[in-house]
Amino acid sequence: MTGFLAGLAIRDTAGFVAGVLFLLVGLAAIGVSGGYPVGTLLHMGPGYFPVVLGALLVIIGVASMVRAVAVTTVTPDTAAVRIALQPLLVVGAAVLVFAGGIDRIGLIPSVFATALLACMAGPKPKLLEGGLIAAALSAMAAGIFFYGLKLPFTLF
Amino acid sequence: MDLFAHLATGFGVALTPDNFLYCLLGATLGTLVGVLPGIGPLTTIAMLLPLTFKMTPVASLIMLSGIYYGAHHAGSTTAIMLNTPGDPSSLVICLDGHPMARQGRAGPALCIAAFGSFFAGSFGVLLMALFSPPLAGVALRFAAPEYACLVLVALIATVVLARGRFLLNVGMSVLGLLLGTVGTDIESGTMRFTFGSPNLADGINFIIIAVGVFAFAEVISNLGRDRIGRTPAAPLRSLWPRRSDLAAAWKPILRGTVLGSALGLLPGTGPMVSSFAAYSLERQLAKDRSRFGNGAIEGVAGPEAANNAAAITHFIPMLTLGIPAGAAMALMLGAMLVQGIAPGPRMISEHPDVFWGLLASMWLGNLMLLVLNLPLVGIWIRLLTIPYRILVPAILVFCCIGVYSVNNSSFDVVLAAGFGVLGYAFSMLRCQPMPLIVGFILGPVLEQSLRRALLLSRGDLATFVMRPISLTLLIFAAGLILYAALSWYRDGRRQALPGVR
Amino acid sequence: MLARRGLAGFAIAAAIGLRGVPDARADTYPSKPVRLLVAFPPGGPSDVLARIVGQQLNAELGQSVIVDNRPGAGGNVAAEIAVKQAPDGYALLLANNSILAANAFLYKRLSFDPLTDFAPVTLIGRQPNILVVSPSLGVGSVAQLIALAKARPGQLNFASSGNGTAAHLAGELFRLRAGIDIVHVAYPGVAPALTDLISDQVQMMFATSVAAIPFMKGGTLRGLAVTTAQRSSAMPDLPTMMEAGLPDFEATTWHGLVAPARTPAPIVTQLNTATIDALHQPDVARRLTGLGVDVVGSTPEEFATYIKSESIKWGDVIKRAGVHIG
Repeated sequence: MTGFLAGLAIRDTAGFVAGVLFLLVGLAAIGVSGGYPVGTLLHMGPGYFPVVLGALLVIIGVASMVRAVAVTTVTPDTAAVRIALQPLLVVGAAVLVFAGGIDRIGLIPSVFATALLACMAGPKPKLLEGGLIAAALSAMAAGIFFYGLKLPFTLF
Repeated sequence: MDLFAHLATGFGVALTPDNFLYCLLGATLGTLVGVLPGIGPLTTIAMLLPLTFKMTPVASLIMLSGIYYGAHHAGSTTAIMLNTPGDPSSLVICLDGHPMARQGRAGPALCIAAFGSFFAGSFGVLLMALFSPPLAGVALRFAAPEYACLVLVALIATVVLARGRFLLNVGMSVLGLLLGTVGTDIESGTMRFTFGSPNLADGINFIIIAVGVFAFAEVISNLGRDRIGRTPAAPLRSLWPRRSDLAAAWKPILRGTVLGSALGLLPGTGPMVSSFAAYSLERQLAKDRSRFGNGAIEGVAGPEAANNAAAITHFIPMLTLGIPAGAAMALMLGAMLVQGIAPGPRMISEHPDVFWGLLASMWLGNLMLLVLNLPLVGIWIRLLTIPYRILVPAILVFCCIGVYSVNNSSFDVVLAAGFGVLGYAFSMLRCQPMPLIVGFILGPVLEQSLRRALLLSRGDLATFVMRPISLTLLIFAAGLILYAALSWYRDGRRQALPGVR
Repeated sequence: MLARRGLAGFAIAAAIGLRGVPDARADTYPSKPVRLLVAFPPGGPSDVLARIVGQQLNAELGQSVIVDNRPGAGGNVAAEIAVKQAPDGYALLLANNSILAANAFLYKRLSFDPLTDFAPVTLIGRQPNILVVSPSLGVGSVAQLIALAKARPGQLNFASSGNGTAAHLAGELFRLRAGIDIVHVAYPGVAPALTDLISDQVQMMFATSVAAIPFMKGGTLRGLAVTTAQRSSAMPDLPTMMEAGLPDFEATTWHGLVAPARTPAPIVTQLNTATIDALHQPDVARRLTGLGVDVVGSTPEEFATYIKSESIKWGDVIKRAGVHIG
């Protein structure tokens, strides 16, 4: 039993995960677009194309997973993968802060908050430097986009 | 010679002090605004359109087209320096332009891009002067079956020729095609994958995906690498291209120019296809394919030339048929109508001063861009000496504003954040984002053309093989698949026999 | 009370030619920039029209008018934003026939009511459509086209710039009124549709005059009739659809300015006056004509009546043709 499992070990983790991703998206696509009129090859409905694509993704996903298991050589850099969690979260948060703020609190506060947060994404964040950068970027954004290009923003 | 008389008229119009100044102003404004990530020619022209109402028709067109090709070219600067495409056509430039910048070779990359786009622009203008009316007819030979087959060729080429793993590339393409189906189906009005949100009813804008998957994902992985201990950016080497760079680049520029000029005549394919086709071609012709994606100068020269040649030849169907290729050209069309000039078959004979003046100004504008951009190279590469921790907030802020201004929608910014996370996941999984983007852009063209071709033929598949152009394209597609299968088989045998490598 | 004071103030202001007597709210209007929501992306006819009118309104109102594009869902995104704005005259919507007369019937769910959620300001103008055919079809009149379609049922196609667009609905109206069997073919915009019409892939289309006339002059397309009630000054030889034998056939793309409902009447009146003044500027009129817009400039009441009648007409067409989005 253990020998059997060892024989089935996932040797290419990245390829396997990508396969799972394709499989799930493919299944979801088939599930959702099955609700649209599908039609036939010669008279395609709005659901035809997405259903075909979903089925393709399922096939590719399964094939990738099989390949990740069946492959005999371990890709050397697979082990070195480490998720950069802090940058991921901070960059995501900075962008979301902009999205949440721009229609409510205006251009300058949104840019300031986003820039300040973005300054905290690096390894050794410095608050004062971040504040200065954020202030400078706010002024630049207002100058270029509001006064220069006259884009429809509110400043505050 | 008729042509010389026409060109003399044109330069007479373009070289009046006023028009010359508007050309310079347009090219400069286009360059300055075009380098902002996410803000491409379309937004720039739309914002500055009211400024041109008070000008003469010729002057306003000269300035707007200056903005158009200025912003077009500037997009590649952002792609090279920040790995963020300003518009679809400069996306491909990221692939090798940005690695060059990371190796301290931003100067040569920017210079070659500037030379390439000047050469391509000049060629496009010449083509326009010589053959506008006959070339316009090319657009009319491409109907739904031809577009469907053309897109098929492009998609197959992407999957076969892209680097990385074949299976994952196919998966990413299909994922891109699927993303392209989001929104209202134009034929039936069915809303697909919108989950009841009107924000998704018109589909996802390209800028959102490009900024997310390229710019945001790049920032996250760079910061992540910093934590683990990134090697500092390579020191800046020479500003100017070496003799070997020029030797490597001139042929790609030539090929890209010809390819881009040809594809620019087809309004239905959109702006990305020409630069992408040129990239695939260069990669295919290269002796050492592994250099591509790691800073091959051919990967900058070819696509940039193709992109700018197409940007000029897009004017041919617009001016002579009134058929715009893409939204920016549609806006130019609107600008002409506002000035009381109706593009169409009779435009050249009815408004010779406008046509030839615009043509002459386009060549002058391209010359100005070259003169303007070479000194700017020195300034742009200073960007790389800015510590990355300062660059990060600037990139994020400008990208957010760029994404927001596409539709003035904060929903789009949230979506871009999501694509950033997805893009980072792709880079972790070593999935190439390029096939995804290509699939996304070409997917709607493929689906709509396929369905329309079958609707018009009332469900007869023969429509694809009875038409000479689509048949040729189909044979070409089959050839690509055969080629891929053969090389796969060959590689497989080589791997199966240890010691052969 | 407030409204009456506002009205009186407005009358005085108008009489002495002043804009902005302090005290009453409506009298100080506008005291800050006015946002003009546009339901379509930069570059489209609506956007260009908004920028032309907006620039002149700027001069008329003495405040900058900021064009704010909120494209999406056939104009519904912008309309939803517009109805949520404070009814103070600082947020306006450049609406068209889709938003005000068709979308309520095309979409299953609409979070606004086009007839009650807006205060109409003025009908800016109409873009006539022309029924164009490819010359190789060999028909020279609407009657001949109908005869041909009856002889070859289900074989002729009409192009449109997408499901539910004005071009599509006009085609459906034609199909219903003429009693013919023609097939709808949707394109992602007017330009690709016209390309296929010129190259003979499809046989007919209702195209805006501005898009169609250059091709008609060049001989690559043949115009059969205009869809307005009167003949067009740009193409005086072209009969109207009504003259061509289809009674009551009118199908135009129109653009009008609306404010959120409950915007004070004096502000609506002021905006109406300012917009009509702007439309009467020779420069503005010339540019709009270039865009193919027949300038109207109606009163708010006339515009409200027009919206209602258009809504009834297109609601009927959409229901009978079975067109829907969503």
